Amino acid sequence: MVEFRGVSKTFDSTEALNDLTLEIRPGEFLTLLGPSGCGKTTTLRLLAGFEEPTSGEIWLAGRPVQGLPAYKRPVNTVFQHYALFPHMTVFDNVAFGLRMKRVPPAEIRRRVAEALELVRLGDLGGRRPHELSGGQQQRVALARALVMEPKVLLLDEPLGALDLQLRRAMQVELRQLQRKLGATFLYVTHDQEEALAMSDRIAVMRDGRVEQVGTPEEVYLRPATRFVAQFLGEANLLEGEGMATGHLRWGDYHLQVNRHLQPGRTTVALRPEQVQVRWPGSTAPPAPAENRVHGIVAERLFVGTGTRLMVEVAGRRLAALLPAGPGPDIGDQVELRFAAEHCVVVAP
Amino acid sequence: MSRRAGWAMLAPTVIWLVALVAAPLVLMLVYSFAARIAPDSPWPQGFTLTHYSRLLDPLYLRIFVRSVVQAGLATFFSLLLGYPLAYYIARSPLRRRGRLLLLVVIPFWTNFLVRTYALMVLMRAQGVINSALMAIGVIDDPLPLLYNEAAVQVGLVYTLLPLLVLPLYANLEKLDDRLLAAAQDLGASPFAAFWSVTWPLSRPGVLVGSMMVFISAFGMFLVPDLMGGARSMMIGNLIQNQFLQARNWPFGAAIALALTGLVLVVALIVQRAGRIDGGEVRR
Repeated sequence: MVEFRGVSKTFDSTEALNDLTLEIRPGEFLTLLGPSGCGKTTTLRLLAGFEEPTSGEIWLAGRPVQGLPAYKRPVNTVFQHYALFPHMTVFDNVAFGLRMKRVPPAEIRRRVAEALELVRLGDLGGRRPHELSGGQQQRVALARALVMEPKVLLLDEPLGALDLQLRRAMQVELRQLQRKLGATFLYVTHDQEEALAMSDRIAVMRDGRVEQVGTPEEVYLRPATRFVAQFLGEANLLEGEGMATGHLRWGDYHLQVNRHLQPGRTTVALRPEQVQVRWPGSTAPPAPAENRVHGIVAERLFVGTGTRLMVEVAGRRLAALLPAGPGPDIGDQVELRFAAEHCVVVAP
Repeated sequence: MSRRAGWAMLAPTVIWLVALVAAPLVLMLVYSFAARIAPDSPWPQGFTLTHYSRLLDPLYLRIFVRSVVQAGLATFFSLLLGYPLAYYIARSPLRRRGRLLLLVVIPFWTNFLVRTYALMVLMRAQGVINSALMAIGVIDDPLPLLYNEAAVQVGLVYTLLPLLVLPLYANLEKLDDRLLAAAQDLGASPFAAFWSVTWPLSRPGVLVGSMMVFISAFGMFLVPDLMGGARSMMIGNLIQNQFLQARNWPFGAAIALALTGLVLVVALIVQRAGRIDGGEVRR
């Protein structure tokens, strides 16, 4: 549906986007995820036509879109702060794009009613935006863009201004809507949880480059780089020496990892929830795991779903997530076990 | 803040307004019904409505109508010139905005009379414009640029333009760029985006600015006096005439009050129009 081919964008000598190559497939929910300033919003604005690339090409539905102004591109945007027209009713807001396209009034009425129904605002067409709650305004913005039946719907942190509970509800709603319509969504967020929950694929961005593209499972379980491992969830980064035997020398330990290692400096990512903790009083039967290290509990933090432990292992620290229930105290000797398959080699 | 402290803070203003606005207005009201004013006493004598009925004389009605037309035209031309200007300044980079705004305001700080005379130096028969045109041979005889209604119009627009530009700028400057982006995203060309978003949202600014120009132009006496001809008299000149030349204070007071009344009506209409459409625009 969309292809970015080697796209770069420079603003007054600062590079916002560096040689971006990315494909968006028809009907998929693709999320651009990254910290602020990583180039994700620039990518969106390039596709919407608010910016032109410094170099490279953008193809939309089989055609290059360079030079086409925003108002001629068959994509529509849901803006971060909704950008609803304050002087128009909800109905007129949603009808705006259709009127610009000179769609006959009867068809406008029908399509606007459908769009408002779709976002469950059927009876609020006569209201002004300032009379609506944040969540409702958000839905109007969504209806206003969807009614245009865009080739790609661009969403620029659309849930950023909502409180957590409403955010969660809207995440589910957006995802259901996207599936129901079979529409192509390009979603921008810096919220990793949101990206993991909603996307078909995630493109993790950093400093104007794509670090990794993949399904939520892939980028979470198989992060390609240190940055991806740390940006999505929490990760222990074990830095050591690759050995000829295929092990990682990490302090005094020789750890088995899931991939044959090249000799030299190597970093391995390990999720805290993949680390099993054994202490003198633990009762759970030990699961088989190739790697075992020993240490002392330095910190414990109750996090609701469990307890997060910081364990000091030979002068380094490893985080482990313990399921809710009994656990060791600070200062206790513990054994940490983790499987080779959970040790993911990442690029620096 | 206690109620008493509130009154204490308001007191100077209230006294000021009562002494210098309310009292003279009441005095004018009393004068406008006076049959006579004795030369040796400030107190009016008798009661009559003749001054008001005299206003309906075609001679004075014509001056009234001319004032409305002149003020209306001045408002229209100010808007025509001032909107693009205010828009341009409001869309300029922040640093340049201050400088451009200063250029709009500087004439405002200059003495009104000096500015008007300066304009006359440009426009009179041996003025800069005529001399230049004759020198390059476009015309043989000087154009009658001064002392007619067109000259009054030029003078009015020239002096009152900042009154429109400033409130309009204040409005346009607040315009959210993202709304324009949203309009373009939904298929509106820049032209369509202007008419469907910028223009309706700037209406409060347009109304306030237009009202300022209209009211100021309506009662203006200096510009028509200096730049107008024998037949460009406006209502302000009429009032001035009655007070200073004819020495008919009661009639002058009646005209002045009629002017004030008309201005109030205009202000109310504009305010209502602004409330219906612009009032809800604020977020």
